[in-house]
Amino acid sequence: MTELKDIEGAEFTASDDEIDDAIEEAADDLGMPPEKVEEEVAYILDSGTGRANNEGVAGAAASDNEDTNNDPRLEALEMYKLRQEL
Amino acid sequence: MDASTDQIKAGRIDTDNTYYELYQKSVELGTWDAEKLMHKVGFEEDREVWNSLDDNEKEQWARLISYFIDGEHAVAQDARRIMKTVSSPWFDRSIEKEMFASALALEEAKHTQFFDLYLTNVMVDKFPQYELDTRRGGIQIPRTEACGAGEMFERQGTLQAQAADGGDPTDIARAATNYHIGVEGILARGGYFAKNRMMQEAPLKLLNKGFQFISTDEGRHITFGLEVLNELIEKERDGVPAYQGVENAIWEQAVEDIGYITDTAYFITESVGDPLDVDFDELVNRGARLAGDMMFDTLDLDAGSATEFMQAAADAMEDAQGSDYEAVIEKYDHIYSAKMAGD
Ligand SMILES: [Fe+2]
Ligand SMILES: [Fe+2]
Repeated sequence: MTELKDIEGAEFTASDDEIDDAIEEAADDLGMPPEKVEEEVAYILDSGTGRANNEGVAGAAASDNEDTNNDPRLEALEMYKLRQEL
Repeated sequence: MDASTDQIKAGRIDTDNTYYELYQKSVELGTWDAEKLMHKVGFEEDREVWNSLDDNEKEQWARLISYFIDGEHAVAQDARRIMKTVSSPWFDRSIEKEMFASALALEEAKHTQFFDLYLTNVMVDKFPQYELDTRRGGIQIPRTEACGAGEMFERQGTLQAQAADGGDPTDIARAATNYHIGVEGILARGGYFAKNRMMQEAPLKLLNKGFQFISTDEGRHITFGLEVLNELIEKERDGVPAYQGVENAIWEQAVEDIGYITDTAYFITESVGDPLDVDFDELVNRGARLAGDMMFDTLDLDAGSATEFMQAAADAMEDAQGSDYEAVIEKYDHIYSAKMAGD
């Protein structure tokens, strides 16, 4: 499995600190270790391949979606939070 | 709540296996509840946006969603064949592969369910015909039947049956290429590219959420398919006689499929005037690049080349230009109506 910050192939707009904070907060809300949340977010983006090839979540990954300011990592984190409610 | 990330020791299951990792991630990420998603997000906002679209914009969405519901249904039906194929003696008969294939089967069924619920509750005015099950005497939606996707799904059924019912490694390679590279890796991912663009002007929120969950599941299916193909390729490279021809089979199938896929891309863009600005050229380029990555980066295929593949895509684009689907849709409309009436 690839570390979230080592994933390639996407345009990341947020800083690593912003990502860390967002993961920390989500982990707290979910009652999960931050490492696990980070692992899941990475897997949402790359399916174990090391490249952010999840077009459906990381629209910006293909650098096609100029209007999306969202960092694909934050988009994936949002999705994971929703997934935990389903 | 599980507060630990430590690996729990297992006995007969190899937890270091990539297929196990894929399976476990399916359990963690792929067990979302489609009905709960609908309740949680609700249909209201989507209905409002949908009702604000003009007929041509609706038609563009309907063309995309037609091939998604029929495609998800087709891959769900063929999942049982994948379970059979990966447990054949051509592989190592590892339980981890079968565990993942069972997760894939559940996920494809759920994807079909998601689109069925969504269509029924939001887009139904553009879908007078979508309720028949192809296994219960129905046909695919007329729009699907009219474009390359419909043909591709039928081809998929044939290839998967050949692979599962005593097929040899080249049959398995063809089936896996068509299913995991063609249908999931290009046709579906190209669809996500298209929906990202269409969402800019027509933000269907619930639909987008569904697509996000679905595309995340598909990511694992594609990784799985490439892993399976890689096993076959390695045996061929090791010189095992029964596996000779695998790389060539992958290449030939991918070239065949790019024809169906490109026709579908034209069908959902230029042929309907592309009101939501997907861009046919960029869509096909994206698809061809995804294919190139899978075949020549991940699989490091010796047969064919990325340049030849781009050429095949360009040829297919030329073939698609000017195709008229209206008459075909109309023909299938009549057939569908007759089937619905019980003929
Ligand atoms: Fe699917
Ligand atoms: Fe799939």
